[in-house]
Amino acid sequence: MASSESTTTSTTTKVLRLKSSDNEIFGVEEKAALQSETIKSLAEDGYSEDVIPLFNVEKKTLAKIVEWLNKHASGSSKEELKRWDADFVDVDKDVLYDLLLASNYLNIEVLLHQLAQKVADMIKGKKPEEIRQLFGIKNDFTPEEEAEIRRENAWAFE
Amino acid sequence: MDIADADLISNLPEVLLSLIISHLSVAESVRTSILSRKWKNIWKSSSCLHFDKKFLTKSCTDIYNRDEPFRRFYRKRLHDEISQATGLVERVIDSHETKLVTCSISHIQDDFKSGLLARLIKNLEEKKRIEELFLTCEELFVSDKLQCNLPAGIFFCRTLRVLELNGYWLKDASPFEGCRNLVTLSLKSVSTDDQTLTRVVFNCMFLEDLSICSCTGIKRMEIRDQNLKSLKLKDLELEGIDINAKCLSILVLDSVLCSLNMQINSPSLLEFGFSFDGGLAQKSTQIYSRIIDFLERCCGLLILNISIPPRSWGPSDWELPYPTFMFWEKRELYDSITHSLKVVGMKGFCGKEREIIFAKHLIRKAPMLRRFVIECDKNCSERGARETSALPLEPRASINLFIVLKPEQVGESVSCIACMYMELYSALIVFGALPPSLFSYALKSFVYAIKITIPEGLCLYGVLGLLRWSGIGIILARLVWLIHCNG
Repeated sequence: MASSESTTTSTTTKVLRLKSSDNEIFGVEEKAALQSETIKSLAEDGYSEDVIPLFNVEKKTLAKIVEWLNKHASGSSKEELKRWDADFVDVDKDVLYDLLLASNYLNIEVLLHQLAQKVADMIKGKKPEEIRQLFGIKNDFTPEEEAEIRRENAWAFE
Repeated sequence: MDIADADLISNLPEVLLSLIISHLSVAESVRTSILSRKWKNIWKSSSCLHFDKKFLTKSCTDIYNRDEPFRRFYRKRLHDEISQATGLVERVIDSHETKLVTCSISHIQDDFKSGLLARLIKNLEEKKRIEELFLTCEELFVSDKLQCNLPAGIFFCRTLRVLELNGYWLKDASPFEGCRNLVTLSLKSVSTDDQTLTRVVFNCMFLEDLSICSCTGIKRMEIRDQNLKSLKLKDLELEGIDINAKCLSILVLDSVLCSLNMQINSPSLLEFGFSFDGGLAQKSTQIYSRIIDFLERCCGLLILNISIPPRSWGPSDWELPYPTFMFWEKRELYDSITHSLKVVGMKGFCGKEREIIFAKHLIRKAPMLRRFVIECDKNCSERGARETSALPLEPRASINLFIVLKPEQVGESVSCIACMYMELYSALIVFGALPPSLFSYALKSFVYAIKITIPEGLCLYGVLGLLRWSGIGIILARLVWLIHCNG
């Protein structure tokens, strides 16, 4: 089905070309690309005729982002999008961070919230020690400082 | 250090970290302060704080979740624990450092009386420049009816855009004085009266989105507003409705009982949702006359959602001089059907004659229709299921139409039969090498079929089961063949 989609769209609508930091070029239908506020303002500034350079996004991240943009402009039903999104954010932590940074830079609010929700879901219901272990956060408090914070907001640690 | 263990998350910019924290509960976001120095103050820049009922009753859930006499017995302890929790709300908001976008607060009546709530709202408006505020007054005992008004002008705030009130007593519109920038207002279980409601809407000059749910005290609802874009009414028992809104584009009536007259003047309506699941018997004619009414009046209607009441079909009082199946043919075609209607959803579909003829009418006569979703009810009769599943074979007015049939409940014998038909149709479609848009329909029904057939088992329906599986077999074979050709 994917092949039939791309052949019908490229003939009728305008395609924007996005360049990743490592010089890979992606063609994205205008309607899909404009979900990103950053691309929108770059396109308005006259970049739309040639390639839009995105210096902060690597090729493998941009490929994922383009995939998301296309899916969300395809007019799928809400339930289908929900299922698709759940699969989309189900990736390794480092990919997740890259996506977070990229969607922040590209200013795609919906995606940004989905990704933040995913990280928040990973934090939910875990003890501080488990969270540190999961994300590799190093505890740089002295035992006294830690006790102090616990005392300050004792209600939250009950 | 091993790369897999490197602390990548703490290297994210603080904006992103506080965004992540905004998706956590208050207690959990405060707990992140202990992770490391970097995280110590992040929660103080979170953009939303939710003090929900769980937060309020955290230390006394053992009492709160019990029945009323038990709660009454421990009344004092319950009150003490809860007022301690609301004290915490104030402390947390005070130590929060940046502006807040969203805040929800659950509280009890006492906080109202002691002025804590008014103080909190003022604080949120002035210091936090709050944009979205959700307030809920919890009822500890059924006998405790809230009977004091919010202070006048309390929602006077330049930044406030969204406000939800749940469980309040609103007998005078003064709290909304000067409430200029409010765009969304939601009233749930609010006790009010006709006049107050009209004044509230009048005071909120730029209101676009109004929803009123389970409110008491309203008899005649009169809404005149030139800016209103969306109106949702739910669980209301009214005597009359009089809506005059030029820009209204979305109207949803969900379980709204209107005993006398309903006047709705909204020429630019785009989306109309109508559902009724209340206990009182609603005559089917009433439902269809309402739908007809809207189709007639709203020429630009794009989306129509109907929920058919599950069982309360009153006796038929359609006294037609011609057979029922000619009902729609005898009427003139509405502009909304021939020109605009794009999406239709019908829930609780039982395959009864009137439903079938309405669905057929839409399929045959609406040239712009793109998506028609039918969610079958579990009480669907065998005949109804058969007729429903034959709908996709109707001649269509629209070439782009996509019909989706959804069985609601798994495990019913009837939906099983409906499914079998769907499989056969999908097999037909697949074999007939019809356009790819239909192929995805086939795939979809195939997925539903799998979901339902496997727990049901084969032996239950003997021959039917065999047919069903052969349907799947055909699809599978076709799939394998397609993959083989493409790959």
